[in-house]
Amino acid sequence: MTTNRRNFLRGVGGFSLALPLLEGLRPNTAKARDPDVPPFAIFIRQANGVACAQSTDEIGEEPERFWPTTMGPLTSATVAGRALDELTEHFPRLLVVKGVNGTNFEYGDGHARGAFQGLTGRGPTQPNQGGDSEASGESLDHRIGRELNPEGRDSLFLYTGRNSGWLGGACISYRDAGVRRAPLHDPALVYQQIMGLSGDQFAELAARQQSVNDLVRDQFASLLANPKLSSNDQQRLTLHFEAIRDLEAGLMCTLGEQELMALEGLTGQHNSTDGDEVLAAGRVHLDLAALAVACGYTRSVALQVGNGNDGDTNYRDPDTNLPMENFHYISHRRLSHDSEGSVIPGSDLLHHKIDRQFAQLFKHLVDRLAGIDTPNGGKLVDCGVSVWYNDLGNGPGHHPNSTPYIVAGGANGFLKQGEAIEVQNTPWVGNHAMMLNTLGSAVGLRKTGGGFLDDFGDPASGTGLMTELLA
Amino acid sequence: MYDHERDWTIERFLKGIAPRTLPLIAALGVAAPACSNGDADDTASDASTGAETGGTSGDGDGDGDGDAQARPSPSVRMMRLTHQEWGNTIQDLLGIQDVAPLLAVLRADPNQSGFVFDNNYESLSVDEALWNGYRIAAAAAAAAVLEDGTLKDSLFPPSADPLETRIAAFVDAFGTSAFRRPLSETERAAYITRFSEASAYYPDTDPTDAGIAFTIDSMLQSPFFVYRIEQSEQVVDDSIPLDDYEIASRMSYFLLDSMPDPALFARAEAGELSDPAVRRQETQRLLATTRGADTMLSFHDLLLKFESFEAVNPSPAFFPDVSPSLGVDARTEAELFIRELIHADKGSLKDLLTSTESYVNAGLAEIYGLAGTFSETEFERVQLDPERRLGLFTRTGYLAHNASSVNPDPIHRGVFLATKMSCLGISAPPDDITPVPPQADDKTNREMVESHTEDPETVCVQCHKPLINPYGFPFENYDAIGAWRDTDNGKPVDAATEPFIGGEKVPVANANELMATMAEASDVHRCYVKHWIEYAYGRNATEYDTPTYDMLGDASRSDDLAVETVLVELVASPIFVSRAAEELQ
Repeated sequence: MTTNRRNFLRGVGGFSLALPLLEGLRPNTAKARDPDVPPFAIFIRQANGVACAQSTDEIGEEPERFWPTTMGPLTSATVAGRALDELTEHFPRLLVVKGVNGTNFEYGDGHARGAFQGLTGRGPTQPNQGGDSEASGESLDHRIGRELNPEGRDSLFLYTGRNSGWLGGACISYRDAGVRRAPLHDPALVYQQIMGLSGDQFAELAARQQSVNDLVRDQFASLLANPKLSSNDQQRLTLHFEAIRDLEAGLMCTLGEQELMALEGLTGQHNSTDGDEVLAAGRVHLDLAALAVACGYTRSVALQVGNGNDGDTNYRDPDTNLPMENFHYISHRRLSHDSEGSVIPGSDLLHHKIDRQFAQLFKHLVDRLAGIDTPNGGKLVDCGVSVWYNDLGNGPGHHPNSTPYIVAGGANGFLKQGEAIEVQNTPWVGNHAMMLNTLGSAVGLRKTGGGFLDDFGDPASGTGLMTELLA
Repeated sequence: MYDHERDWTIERFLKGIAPRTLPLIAALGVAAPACSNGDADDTASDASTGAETGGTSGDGDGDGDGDAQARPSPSVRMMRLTHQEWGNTIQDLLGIQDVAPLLAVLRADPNQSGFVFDNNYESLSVDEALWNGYRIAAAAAAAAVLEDGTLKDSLFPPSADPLETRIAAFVDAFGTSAFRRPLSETERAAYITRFSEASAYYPDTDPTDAGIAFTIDSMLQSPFFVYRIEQSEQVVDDSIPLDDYEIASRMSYFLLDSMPDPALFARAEAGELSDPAVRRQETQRLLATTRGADTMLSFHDLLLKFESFEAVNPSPAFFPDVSPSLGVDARTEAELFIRELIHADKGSLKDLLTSTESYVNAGLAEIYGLAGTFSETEFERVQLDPERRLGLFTRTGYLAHNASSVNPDPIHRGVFLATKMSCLGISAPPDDITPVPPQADDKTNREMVESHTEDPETVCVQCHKPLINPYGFPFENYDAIGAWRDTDNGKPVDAATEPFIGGEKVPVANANELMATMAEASDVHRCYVKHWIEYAYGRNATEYDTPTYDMLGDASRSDDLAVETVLVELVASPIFVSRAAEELQ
């Protein structure tokens, strides 16, 4: 069994879903900003924009309920009453980025434009296909995994909520142009994936699996040797072949018996339309994401909450504990998925309440990562970037302007922290790919020949880094 | 209902057309009237009329260049089993009835856009997560066989023969079933050797049991099990004939979602499946099974989105008497319609579009205005009012799913019918267009939609007026739960339109006339057969398929072919048993 991926998990026997138990980590003599722990990225995607100041046909003048009152240092005063105040205790490690504009690519649908562009920075494979669109490039989460993970293993792509509906459910992670990735939906499968063969199982199973793999490998070799296979057949066979190799490379993290039982008790909620259950499954996913990063299983995780327009999830109003209309209706301020339904009174406030629940979900992740010590005496959260982003700027307009990027952790000092920064204030000028370049560079991606990643995504969406975000 | 003894075969038609060129039908996959997007308005909302109507399929055929021939279309040669196929195959191969725990460890496949069904073989791949799932499931399946003496004995029967003989027989028989073809000598030798070595991997296990388990475990992880592989490469008359085992798998995974059954294997072993008469016979036999019925349902379930009926949620304020189970009931009705009227009774597409029969419980009976007493939970077969309810699209599932919680939604109704049943290509709407204004007290639902979408000053008019609205307005007689209405907002319902059918505008007075017109339209029948081709081959239809769906579609219309007969003739087609020679270039 290979143990190299336990690179900073020293002598730790388990990981709690309730509280992190990774207490075996001890400081060493490294400088605080030495990247002993390789930087990582964990993305949380929210749909439908946020409840920001705007004028709508349905409600009229809607007040600002998301962005700080002023840019600059984050303080309780600048975010009072805003969704971001849920994150007050983590202000010193937060970077709030305003003015990240998606490009107005010809997707033929606002949600497709936001969701597919979100992590790819790319337009559609074919224009104006609306709900039948696909993104025309690899997503950042996958690229981080491909280039930086051990053996180039796939990043973790997680999903909570009903995995169907608009844009086909899970839709933000791409292996390549037009090649959508399958998410891990059930948290139990996430654990199964991270764990692979446990220590107890390994001695018995490893030899047997090796024998199976020998047989299978020979069969793959004979199939791949056929020069007349189509490129599609070749690509899919190669992916399969590499998957076998990756799994052989060894396994790492396990949960204790109690944690496993807790996990099994929670996993039934992942396909729900009840917002509380969707978010509960999301928290379990994020626990497992923290485990996966802490164990060195992966340096990249993306969690998508809800389908393309999150139109199946009924989040609950925390003041009444009753389910609201589905999030897409709320974001449109109307009782329909388009603009034909009746106006939902107070829906701007309901949207804000949903934003707060996403802020709490993000805080859950930051809490987890901040509770894990690193060998150099720091906290795991500061070694990477945890990103809560929205693929649209607002509802009901669903503009791509000023899509929120809330970043926790500076990637070992790469990014500024404790500030709100507006990178531009010109609507409809795409710069979103620059944000992806910045995050990719922070995690360690470099362009061919060295130098920070500066060409990810479509150049129409900007090139280079957002230098104002760099520490 | 259909008389399937009629003298109709696909060869009769294909003989007459291949390889001569055929004109393509412009309406299939092509928006005949101008229907394209304008520039997005960068200031308003995408909360626009029809903003999320399901998009278009972009199927790539119907290019109108007239160069189609009756030849097999190039496609992938390694088709990974869908999870449904994998589970059914495990059931049939091992005899394990409850495969749900095994399926639970397989991560779901992505929902790739642009394909109606769940078997787009170009996109079905094995990543690390799925490989891990396959590995765990294979070991669990092997363990399940060992734990069940009956299952184990069925695979490795008790016998007085020498153990070596039994091992060889087991490897041969199980290997042939698992790989869906006879093993090569190399494979056979390798698995026999590993059988004998397996006890080292299973401590405290009988050596023979260890060999059985290892053989099952390893074969279920083989690419020859996980994929359906068509390896034939010999070109004959400009195409590559499949061998009999490859034909058997094509047939069984199309018709049963599973591996060939013993009778089909026997046909393959006897070399009989290149004979179209045998394939017809076998197709009828397979469709008569439970799995065959499931396939008939699965196709329609995916095409017509029965699952989404369950999400129907009418406003309690407007429809206080509607059962909370309305959505589930509507799905049940649709499924029974397919199982009984289309499968069991050998119904045709015309029946699907115009039948007045259905299955209802008390809730649906009330919506349909049926007199009498009905069970809340049990469904019974009924005759609906022929003046109001022709075909499946005049039933609650389609009507209520394509409605807001309060009002009918002629736009979604229209887009669905136009794209899925007439194969009209309709571009997605532009982003950020002006929302519908609040409903005026003196206007009907139709008037509101017309005023918003047919304004000649907007881009909306290009698609809505000629293509979308005329397919949706005929259903204005049905409210948001599918109940009949003569008035809307105090004014008489106007359901008359001129939908684009068969290359021209056809006046219809209401939904019944629309359904009757579509039932007689070649384009609609060709569209339906095209979808079956996509389902059968696990890919979008291409220009190569055009002659087949033209001919089968035309026969479906003119001879009122049973859907079963369409499938029989699809399998009997020479194209079904060959691959494209272009793949080898």
